[in-house]
Amino acid sequence: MSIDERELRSRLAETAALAGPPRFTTDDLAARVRRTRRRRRGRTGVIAAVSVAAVASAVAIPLTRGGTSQPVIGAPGPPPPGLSYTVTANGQTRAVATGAALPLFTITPGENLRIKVGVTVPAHARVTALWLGISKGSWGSGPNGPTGINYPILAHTRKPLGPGSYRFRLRWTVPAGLRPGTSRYLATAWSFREAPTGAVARAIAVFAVPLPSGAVSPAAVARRLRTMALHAVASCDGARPAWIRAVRTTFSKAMAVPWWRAGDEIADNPTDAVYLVLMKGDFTLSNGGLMPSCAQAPTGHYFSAIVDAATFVTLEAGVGNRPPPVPLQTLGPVLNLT
Amino acid sequence: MESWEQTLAGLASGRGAALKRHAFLLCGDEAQADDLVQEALVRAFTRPLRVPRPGGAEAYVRAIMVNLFIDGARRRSRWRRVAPLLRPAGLTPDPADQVSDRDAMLTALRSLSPRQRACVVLRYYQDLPVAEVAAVLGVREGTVKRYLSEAMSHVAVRLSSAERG
Repeated sequence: MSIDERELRSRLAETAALAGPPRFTTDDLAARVRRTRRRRRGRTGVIAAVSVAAVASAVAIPLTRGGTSQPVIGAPGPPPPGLSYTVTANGQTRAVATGAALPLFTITPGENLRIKVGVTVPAHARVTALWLGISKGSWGSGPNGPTGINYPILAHTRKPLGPGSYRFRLRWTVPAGLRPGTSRYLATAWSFREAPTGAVARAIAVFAVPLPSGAVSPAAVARRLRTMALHAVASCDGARPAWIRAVRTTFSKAMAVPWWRAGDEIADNPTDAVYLVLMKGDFTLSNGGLMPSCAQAPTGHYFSAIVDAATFVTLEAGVGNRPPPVPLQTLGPVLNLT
Repeated sequence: MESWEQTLAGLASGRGAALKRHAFLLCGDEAQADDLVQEALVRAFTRPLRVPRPGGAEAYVRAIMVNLFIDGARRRSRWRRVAPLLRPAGLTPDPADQVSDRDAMLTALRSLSPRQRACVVLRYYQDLPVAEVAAVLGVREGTVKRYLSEAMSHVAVRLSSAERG
């Protein structure tokens, strides 16, 4: 038996007529669309909120002349007590703000550096052990204490620290062979009552050897920034970006351009020279250890980073789906690093 | 400029029944057809940058419905493979299935694969040209023609056996 198209059309129309009237209302549908839109916006907000801190940690990697070091990986665990820190070095005192750029101190190879670290343990918290030390760029923690914070360990206390403020005086002789443009981290690890067998680690300051002023040619700057940008892309699990651009400006102006959160700005270095690096592509953060377990990996089409012009340390970084609201050209001559 | 709420209201109230008939032919079930239309409308209007223009909204929603139906059918086929393992003994079939099974055309449509069914509905119910059917499904025109040819043979066989009793 065969069936012709006309008969098929007619039968389909008859069958379709069996369907009853719709059982949904316009109001219900509109409400559902609004709810879904709100959820989507909420997710985007979470992404924006976690991106700055997470990416900053992921790409806050010193660039050595021999290449780049590995990304920072912190060990996830139970929610640690939120310790707060101040770091004093070379007569400058900087507070360590949560989620913001690490304080940056310039150092000279061979110098005998005196560092003071203030640690405040919040109420109801009890730190069972604390370590302070120098790291080359990766730190973590395990059942036997910190890992990666051994260049060298400058302080170690097993005496429990209850709520209150504590000061640690540290001395570190900067290695004489440390080359200009390289950096080291002041990192800390601590274990606490709720997780006596584990510890939490983080960096609280960056020490960097500046490049001699005037010794770096524009071509060398471009090369260095490009290498850093591509390394950051690798940390972000992204494909090769469509373009990479950079502009030299001040920290405060750079902070006004991308999509940083309000309050991230550090007040004590607004006029420091920095490079604002902007890339276009598809970026997904992949540093699972630094992400809250419930958060989706931040994604975005634009990746931006603020790089200190003297030391080439990444101060801030973030991803977003929209281009910065201020064109880069308004800040100065744009370097095309693609 | 018309807001998305107005476009959605116009589409749901003015073309809701037509969209449901389209969905009913695709999935062959009243409740599923309602769900399919609602889901397609929500998806069409959820993304602010992809909200359809008033003139092209219905076609856009129909295309989403077809794709949702094909994706859903793929998931349901996986579920059907494991469902018998989970179903308790003595469970009676859904009465809605028995009612809709009475219609020979619906039974014939059910014998088709999801893509074949989508092709038949788009071509012979929506009267879309083969090229547009291919565009909606994201396949080549030749593939659509093959689906249609196979579907016609299947439907003819099913209808003849139903008429023989």
